[in-house]
Amino acid sequence: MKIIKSLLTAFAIAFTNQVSGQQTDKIETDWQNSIVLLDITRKNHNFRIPWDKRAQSVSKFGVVIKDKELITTATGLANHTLIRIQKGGRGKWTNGKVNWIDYQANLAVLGVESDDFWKDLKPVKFAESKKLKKNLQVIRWRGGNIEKRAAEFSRFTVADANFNQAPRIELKASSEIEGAGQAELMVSGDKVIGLVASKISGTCSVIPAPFITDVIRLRESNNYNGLGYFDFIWQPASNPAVTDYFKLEGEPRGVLVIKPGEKSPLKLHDIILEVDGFPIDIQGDYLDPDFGHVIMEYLACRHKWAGDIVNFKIWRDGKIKEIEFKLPKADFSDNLVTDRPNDVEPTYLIVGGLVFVPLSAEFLSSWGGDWQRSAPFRLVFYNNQKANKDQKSLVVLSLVLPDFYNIGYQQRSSQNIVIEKANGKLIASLDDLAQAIKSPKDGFHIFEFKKGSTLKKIILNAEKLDEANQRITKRYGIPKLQKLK
Amino acid sequence: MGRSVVQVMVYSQTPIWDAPWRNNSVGGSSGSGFVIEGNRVMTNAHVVGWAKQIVLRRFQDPRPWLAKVEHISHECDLAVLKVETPGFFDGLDSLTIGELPKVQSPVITCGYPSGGEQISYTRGVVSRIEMQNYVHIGNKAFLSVQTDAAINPGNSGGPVFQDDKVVGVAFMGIPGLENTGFFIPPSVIRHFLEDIEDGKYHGFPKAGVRIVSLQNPAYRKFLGLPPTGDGARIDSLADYTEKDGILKTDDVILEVGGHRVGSDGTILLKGNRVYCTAAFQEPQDGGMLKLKIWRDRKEIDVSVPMKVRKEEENTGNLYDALPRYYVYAGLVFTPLTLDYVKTFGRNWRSVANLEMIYELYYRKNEKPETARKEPVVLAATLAHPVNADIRLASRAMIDKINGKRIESLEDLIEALEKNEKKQHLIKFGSGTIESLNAEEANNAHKDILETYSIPSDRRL
Repeated sequence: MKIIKSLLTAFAIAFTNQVSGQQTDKIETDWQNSIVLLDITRKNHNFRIPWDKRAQSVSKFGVVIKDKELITTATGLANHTLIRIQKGGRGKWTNGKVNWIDYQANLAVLGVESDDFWKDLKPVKFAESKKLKKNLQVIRWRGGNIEKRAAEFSRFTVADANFNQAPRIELKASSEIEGAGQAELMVSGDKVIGLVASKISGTCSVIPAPFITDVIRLRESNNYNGLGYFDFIWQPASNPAVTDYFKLEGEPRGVLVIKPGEKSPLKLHDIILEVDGFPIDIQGDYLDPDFGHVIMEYLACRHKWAGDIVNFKIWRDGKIKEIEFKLPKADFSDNLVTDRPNDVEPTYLIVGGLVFVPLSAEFLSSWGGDWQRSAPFRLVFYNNQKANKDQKSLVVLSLVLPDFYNIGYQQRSSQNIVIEKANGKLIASLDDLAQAIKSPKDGFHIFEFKKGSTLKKIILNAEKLDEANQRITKRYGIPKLQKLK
Repeated sequence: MGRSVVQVMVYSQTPIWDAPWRNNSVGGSSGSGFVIEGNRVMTNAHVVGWAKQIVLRRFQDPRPWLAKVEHISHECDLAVLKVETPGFFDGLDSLTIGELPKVQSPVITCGYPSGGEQISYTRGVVSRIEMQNYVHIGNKAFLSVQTDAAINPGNSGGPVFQDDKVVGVAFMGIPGLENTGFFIPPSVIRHFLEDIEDGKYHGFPKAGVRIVSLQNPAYRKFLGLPPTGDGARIDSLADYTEKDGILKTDDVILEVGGHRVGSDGTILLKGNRVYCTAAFQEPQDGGMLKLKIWRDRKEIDVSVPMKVRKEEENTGNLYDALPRYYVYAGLVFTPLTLDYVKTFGRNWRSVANLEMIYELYYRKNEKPETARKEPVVLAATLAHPVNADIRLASRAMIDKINGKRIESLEDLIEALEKNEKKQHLIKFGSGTIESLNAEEANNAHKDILETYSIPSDRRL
């Protein structure tokens, strides 16, 4: 009897395997009609040689959603000049265009004019929040065939953007797939789990499906306002002596605000106890019904968008208080180090071989992903400092194109220094600088740099500036002396 | 000559900067030295820094001779030793210090380099003479002579000869460069010897000015000078120089200490063009330096009182003075110094938080009004139930304690000891707050010192 039973079991297992194997094959066939190859040509700017444009080719993937549109990640689409789309992994390429893009959300919707293109293509279905963890696979076109590689769910995390506080929910999964991060599909069964935004060593960072479907839905109804964020900085309240100090009654819980934002009603040393009804623990995490324990920053984007209200329960002045927090838009273009993650061309102003550029996230990023360590320290440190009324942004003398006109200023000490004044006027933007250059002082242009700079002052001959500009642009093959907008 | 060259055998012990009551294990090393007038031995500061025992060996003499440091300059890497065992100088001639040798002229180095036991001589020429960063202190440049005569570990402190006179003290090489050794020239040696004549070492005074070239014709015209010609420009002033009010930005230095200054900021020193800071280092502490300056379109004579400045001390390597610290309830506080941040490892610049680097190197130049006399860090937390809940346990700058802004270690001790509230509140540079129950902390204090074998809760 025992023997028969175990035999039956073995048979049943074998049978099940066969069935599921067949299903998998069928699903693979289906993905062929939903995932397309994108070939993007873009202008790759070098923010340290701002007039230099290099064409760059980016290969990535897109996936068909309803209403004859594709969705992909925004990465690689900035400053594009041509988008070519190929379906079926081989054959003809068709021109595409960007219908909608949001760099903070890292998503873009693409369209194709010709109706023929959409024949045989089939929109995908996105997975629900609760079904994002099992049987994961990464799917992409590879050499004319669909390649699929197993992936294993690891965790959900909330990551900040490179420069600013804009939070993003990410699904982390490990996979052996090589060179992923170009919006490959992560799928489970016949549902899309998300788009692979990047991959570092063995771990894929995936924009999860619930976020994508939210964005698609809002965009369709013209209600997409962009990401919001919490503009304050907090510390865990894990030291009971600290919560005691603020006379918090009951068990230690919540987090302590140590730098209130300019746009929020939270104050220094408020203890945040709950956000949208979720209790915040002493680490700053809460228990998300879909994603488990995640950091409270996610509550700024959990089905919430810029302009939406998030409810805070806080401890302030020995009392519990409820406050409404209107989420500010994740727009950091007014930071002291400006951050505009969109289709920006580098701006610059060349004065007698002195190349001035705005101190921007793009400029600092030109030192690479490790810019916080590899870019000049003083410039990096401005990212910790706040803009103010007189100094909304900064302008850097980034390089000197050698010419006898600027002799004496060609050393390294006159590179990457931040300007304070030109011809006596405070400088916060290239426009300010362009204006100041119009009024030389007694035949001289006088540039003063911030206190503590490796060079404090530069003086140029105003009368000979035009002549020098012409000579320098010609010698260095620079098409235009300035690009201010 | 070789008879007067001695081997300096040293056992030394350096402190652990993030556990300042502890020391690293004792290490042995050796260098060279030579006899100078007054029954003294000259060697490098880095040979005898942190020394616990110094033993000298004479030329072909097996006997050990006990010595001690009489004066030491970690800035210019020189030291003078006294010999405690009598009879050491019998039969030894003192060597005389010569003049700066000429480029291309032959020199002989002499000492006890690694690779053998006996005295060793190498011959070379003077390759060039320039201002060089002295690596022992790390943040100061002095005149230095480069030679292709081999200078190897163990040569340090040994004399460099020309015509029977000492024209330098061998002191460093640069890793990766071949056939380049450096020696300390006579002017720096003499400065040190004159400095200690009154029985005390003062140091090299500093003018606190940044001098830049003045080669742009427009800038020269702006200042009323001909398009080409002499003179270098003062681009910025240290806070203390600005307060003195004697030198001003845009002053053009035409002459310093009798040396004409070129538009690239160099002076002609015995046939060599070297950066003019060499001339600023000639006076002793409290001496005057005569400058010819172009200011407001006029040539004027200015005398600048020269003073030794300690403001930048924490950005250089520190020696021989054990680190200051205070341990309270297991929290280890110590001043922010280069030596401390170096405990983070070779890549300390990447590890240290940005505020710490800004505080150490930038704040006193950019915002002197907000700079602290002695920034203090929480270096470590010695685990104990009383401090177990403190998350930010190390490598953090201290801003305020119990409401008091911390300008020095003494401030910090006062803020903790005089607190009458139930709790101590520590605010860090990042804005983070930590707290300790004052009564529990006081009770645990002694216990923690015993557990971790800390002889005293403070060294000031």
